[in-house]
Amino acid sequence: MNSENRQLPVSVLVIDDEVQIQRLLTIALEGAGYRVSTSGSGQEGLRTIAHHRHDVIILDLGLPDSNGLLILKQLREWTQTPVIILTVQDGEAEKVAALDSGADDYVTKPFNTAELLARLRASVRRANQGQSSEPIFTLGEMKADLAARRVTLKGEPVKLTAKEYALLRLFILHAGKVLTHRHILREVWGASHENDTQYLRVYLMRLREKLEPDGAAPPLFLTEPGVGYRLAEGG
Amino acid sequence: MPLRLRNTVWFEYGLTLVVFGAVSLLNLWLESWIGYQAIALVYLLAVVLLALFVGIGPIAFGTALTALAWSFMFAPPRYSFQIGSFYDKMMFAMYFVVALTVAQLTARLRAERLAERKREERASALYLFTRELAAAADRADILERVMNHAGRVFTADIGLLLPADPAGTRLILVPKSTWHLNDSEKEFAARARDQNQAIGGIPGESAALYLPLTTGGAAAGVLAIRLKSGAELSSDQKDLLENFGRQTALVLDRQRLRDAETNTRLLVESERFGRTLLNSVSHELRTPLSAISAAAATLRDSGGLNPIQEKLSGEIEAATFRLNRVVQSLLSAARIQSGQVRPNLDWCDISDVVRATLREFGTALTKHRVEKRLPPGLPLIRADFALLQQALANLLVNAAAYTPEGTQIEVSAQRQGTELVLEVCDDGPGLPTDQIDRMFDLFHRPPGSRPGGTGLGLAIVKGFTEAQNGRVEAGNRPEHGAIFRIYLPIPEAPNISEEPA
Repeated sequence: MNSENRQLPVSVLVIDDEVQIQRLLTIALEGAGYRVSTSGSGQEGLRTIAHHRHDVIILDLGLPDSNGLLILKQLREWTQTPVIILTVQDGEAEKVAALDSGADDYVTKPFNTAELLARLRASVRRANQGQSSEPIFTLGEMKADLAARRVTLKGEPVKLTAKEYALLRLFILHAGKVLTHRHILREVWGASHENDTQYLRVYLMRLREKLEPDGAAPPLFLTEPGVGYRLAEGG
Repeated sequence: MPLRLRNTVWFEYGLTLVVFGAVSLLNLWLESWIGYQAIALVYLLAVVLLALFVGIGPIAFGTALTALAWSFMFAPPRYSFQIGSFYDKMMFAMYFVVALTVAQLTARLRAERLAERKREERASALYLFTRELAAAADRADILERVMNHAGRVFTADIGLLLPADPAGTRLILVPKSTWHLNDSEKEFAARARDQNQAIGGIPGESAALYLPLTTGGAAAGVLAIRLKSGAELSSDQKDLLENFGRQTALVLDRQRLRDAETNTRLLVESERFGRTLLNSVSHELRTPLSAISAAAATLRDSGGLNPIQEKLSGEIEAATFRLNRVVQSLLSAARIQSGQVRPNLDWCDISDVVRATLREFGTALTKHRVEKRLPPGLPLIRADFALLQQALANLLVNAAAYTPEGTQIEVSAQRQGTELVLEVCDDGPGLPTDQIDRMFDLFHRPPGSRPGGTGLGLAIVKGFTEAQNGRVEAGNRPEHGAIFRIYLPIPEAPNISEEPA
């Protein structure tokens, strides 16, 4: 991917009604080697996306002309281009709604540029990889072989129940991506359980006990307050 | 007095006596011309005419009287009640039958006319009453109009008693009542309300009536009425009053619903206004903050800065971070103050909350040693993860700000009875003992506290915790250092169907 990168810069579309944010993101992202175009409104953004190919879209949820969420839904009807949402700190419900409507990630305003760049890189990488074809996933001391359904920690095999494994597998397939509570519950426990957060809390506790026994090490499972969980990215 | 007499039965009997006396005198004079038999027809005419004006009782009395007068004064043999010829006897009997029949029919007609007039009067009284109430602007106006109108229609003193509060059992007298009930009279009113039926005609009491105001369910209040004449209410008046009572209860009920609706609408509008204001303030403050912090970070990352420039960009970033926390605190406090905190209560693992908070706010705690004690097997609680995290973060940042660098901050969670206790202890100077009770007050800053700080942090801890049905506590450790606790209720353990092993 790095070799591709050098030939063709990754193109980013910023949809934000604040001209100052547009300017700053342009400077910051161009400085990091992206090709940047901007749109001041959701409708204009939709038109731009229809005519030009973009690798990733940064969308401010608080657009004046129409709700950013609506733009996101319209967009998702015909394109799977990764979308990163800009949102405010108290907007947990908004974040969840955006993620459930197909956003790939979110960054809270006022955002940290380094964090935004990291999220951008991860989103583009995931989009290019598609569904991970690599059966072996390594993260810190943990190694998971999805083909053999075997998980080891520091070389020692870890015994997981069927549901624990299903949960871990879902995280691994979407490593680095935020998964909302509802999404995880639906995938692992079925649609009838999509509001039963207690399952998720209990099973995550168990997974952490088995896979993060050493509290000091960087955690594998990151909690996104009020939104969901994210698996740290593999390396 | 004569006016009053007009309507009594005695007046009707008197009238009958006078009229027939006069007719008898007339007949004595007429007899020589028309003969004693035709005299009976004159009497009959008088009976029919009189029946138009008096009741059946006086008419029957008059009929008997005139029949006797005819047999005594006119039918031969005269001046005796004996009647000679068979023809005259028949005449006497027929007179009775015809006179009474005609009188009966006439009396019925008259009664119907009277009833009709009464119905009309009542309908018009009720109509006027309804119209009066419809024009009322609010509850107080309704009550005043009820009392004025009923007082005028019945020539009476009126007392209205209504519950002191919506659920109240205690009745209080509406201030503008013209009859100020004493305690024992209020007792009667309360009894009328409780039994939901009118009470009146109590021996030894004034001839008052206590009428519960009801629309079918429990009585809303009581209307007490006392005629100025001191008489009891007639059944017609009671009837009319009951109609007034029903109407009053209906109108009060409607007004109550209308008031409730208005209140709800006002509440919704003010909430929406508050939310819009908060959202726009939040947006207007955070957008430039975003721009400043992004600009400073990009400047630093662009490279080629000399050491001073690099330091300055670091200062900008630090100041932006701090300003952002202030904005966040102000918005949180405003949300608490305006009742806009809507906790999204869901199952939470407190250990997870602690770890996520330490991860996110770690940068503010780097100058202290942070110890966490999270025993395994803590129960799940129902809380709003984000709110709880902010509350805990405020406690941690607070502890870091008020204790010397290098000291220890300890965060722990444990079960205590039916509550989960989240605790933050520090190793600093502790809290001034006379200030402990006020630590969580908005804008409260104990004397001698460090410069800077908004006095919002702990108030937010309290507001957010209470929004999640929890409580907060502050104190000092026995040795030294302050201690802050968040107590959250432990709900019944959630239902988790285990998978087959």
